[in-house]
Amino acid sequence: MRLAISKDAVQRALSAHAAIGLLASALLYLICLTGTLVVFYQEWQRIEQPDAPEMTAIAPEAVQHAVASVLAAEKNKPRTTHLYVHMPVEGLPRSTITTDHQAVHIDADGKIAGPEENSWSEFLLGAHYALNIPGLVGMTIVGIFGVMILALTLSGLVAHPRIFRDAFRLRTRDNHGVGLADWHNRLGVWTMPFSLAIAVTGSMIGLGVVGAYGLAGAFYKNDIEAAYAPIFGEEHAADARPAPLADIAAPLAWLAHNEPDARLTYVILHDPGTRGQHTQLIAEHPRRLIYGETYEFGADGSYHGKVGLSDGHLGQQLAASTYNLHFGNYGGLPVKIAYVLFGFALTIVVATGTSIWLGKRQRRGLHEPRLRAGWDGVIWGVPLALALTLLARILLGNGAPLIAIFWLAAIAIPLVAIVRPEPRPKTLLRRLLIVSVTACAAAALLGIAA
Amino acid sequence: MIGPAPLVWLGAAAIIAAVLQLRRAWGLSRRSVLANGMGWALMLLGSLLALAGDGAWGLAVASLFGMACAALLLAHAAWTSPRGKARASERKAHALPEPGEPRHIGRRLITFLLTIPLAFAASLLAALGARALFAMAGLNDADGNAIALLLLPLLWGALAFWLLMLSTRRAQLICLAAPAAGGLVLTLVGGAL
Repeated sequence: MRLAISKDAVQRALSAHAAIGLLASALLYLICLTGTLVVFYQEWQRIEQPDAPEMTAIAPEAVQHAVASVLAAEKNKPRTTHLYVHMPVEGLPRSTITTDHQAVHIDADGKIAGPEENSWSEFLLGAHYALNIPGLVGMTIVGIFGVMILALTLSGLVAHPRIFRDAFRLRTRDNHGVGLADWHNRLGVWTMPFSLAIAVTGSMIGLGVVGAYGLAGAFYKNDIEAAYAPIFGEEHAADARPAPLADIAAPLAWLAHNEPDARLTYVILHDPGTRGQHTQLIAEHPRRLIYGETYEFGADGSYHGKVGLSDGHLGQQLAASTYNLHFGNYGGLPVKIAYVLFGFALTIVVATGTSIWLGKRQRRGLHEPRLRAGWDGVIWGVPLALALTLLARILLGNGAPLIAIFWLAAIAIPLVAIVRPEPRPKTLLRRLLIVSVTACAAAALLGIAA
Repeated sequence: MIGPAPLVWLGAAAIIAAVLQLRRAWGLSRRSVLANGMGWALMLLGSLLALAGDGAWGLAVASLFGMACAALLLAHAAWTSPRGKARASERKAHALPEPGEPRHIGRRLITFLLTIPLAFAASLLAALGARALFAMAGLNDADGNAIALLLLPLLWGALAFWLLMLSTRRAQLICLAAPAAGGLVLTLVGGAL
């Protein structure tokens, strides 16, 4: 028996594939490219601020001292509601304290070393996570693009009945668009497990809040925290009356003693300096996809239990696994490199999709220089805009208006290309990109050397 | 740091063997069910071994080996590919009108509304219905909520694709109404709202 897809279904799937692809192409390309780059989020931060103090570990007493120092420095500001201590980890061996008002690095003795300056890394993460749109709107839009990847994968499979049979044929030296189509189809097939994992986890993250609002509306009397609580644990009741600072050193010592294999990544102090304060430790578990287990402690440092992300309900473990599976944070540098390679492949699949469609139209005699130039402007303009933001960050400092630079350039370049399509802008944009990337590398190396 | 369990390495090796076997099978002049089956069986075996070794983490790591192996084979194919004379496909995708063809802007707009906002609403209702059904079957809130959050994008992606495969508006509306109505009924029966 041989399963065959009808010609009509193949043609419909091709139309669906093209329609979704064209609708999503430019922003999907941007999301894939920034997602590929942001795999090295930790490494970018080290490049941005090479002189921040680094350490392999920090003593619990030093963390306690640092938290007290940071809160003392903020005594004239509104009380921070959450205080996060990023603990030194393999990819980013730095201790950083973030409050509602500031983020500072601390040295191994717990002294404040200076402000955290990672605006480019944050900008890049924001571009990927939410297209730099504040609030939930951007995140939801990006989640929708994850759904589009799912629909593109399904339609691509049906539209190309020979896609598996030809999966190892790559005719790079063929003209007339054969090579381009082969790159698109082969990379699409072989990165499919990766692409599906990225799309499902990305859309779960992006649409998570919308889904949670749905759950809250249907089952929890519109209480969104109650919808999240069965998975990520409950928020404790606040009590704003002042109290001495919570004991943070004791929980750190408890974790080191009772969970020696767990790698502490974050200390979160809720409502510090109040009677309602309590501490959470987030610790990674080796050879797990979960971002970590959450251990809960009272203000006096006593252990109150864990949320269950590591060994609780399967739903908890599933939800906690989406982040690392999406960002490639589960196997050190080798997995990150694999994610960058496959992410780049997915970016090429998105970029070549529209190029194939344009090429087909051209071969049918449709001369559309503006469309072609506009797409050149997207493919080469987006990375060029990213390189310009990195250059601005290195040359102008942490306060450079990165979001404005990026979006102005990323929108203006395709528009200019559409307005002035001849000569075709591809070559010029490629050269500008090479110059910009080289300038970034040189400036960064000079900065590190200095 | 503790390294992967031996079963993960075995699983990765089996997945690499599966990719190599599939390459051999798909390169045969005639389709061989046995050769193809061996490839897919090795893929399944490798996945199960990796899962047994280190759970989801093991499977994720082992699958990277398979994809990396395929990438190397593709790189080899690209490097050794001779200059060919094949003509590229000129299949019309009908995504945009050709010159002289009607634009059908209204029709396209309705298709957009069906596949994006309405398919989202239907998927959300279906996901909530599934959550209510699981709750009625005795599943805890954590599992039910996580499944609903997972189902929302999965259903939406599948629904968007399937709607575009249907040729009539009537079929598309039925395709949207069925999961939406089913989800709504289950959600109401489940005691919500």
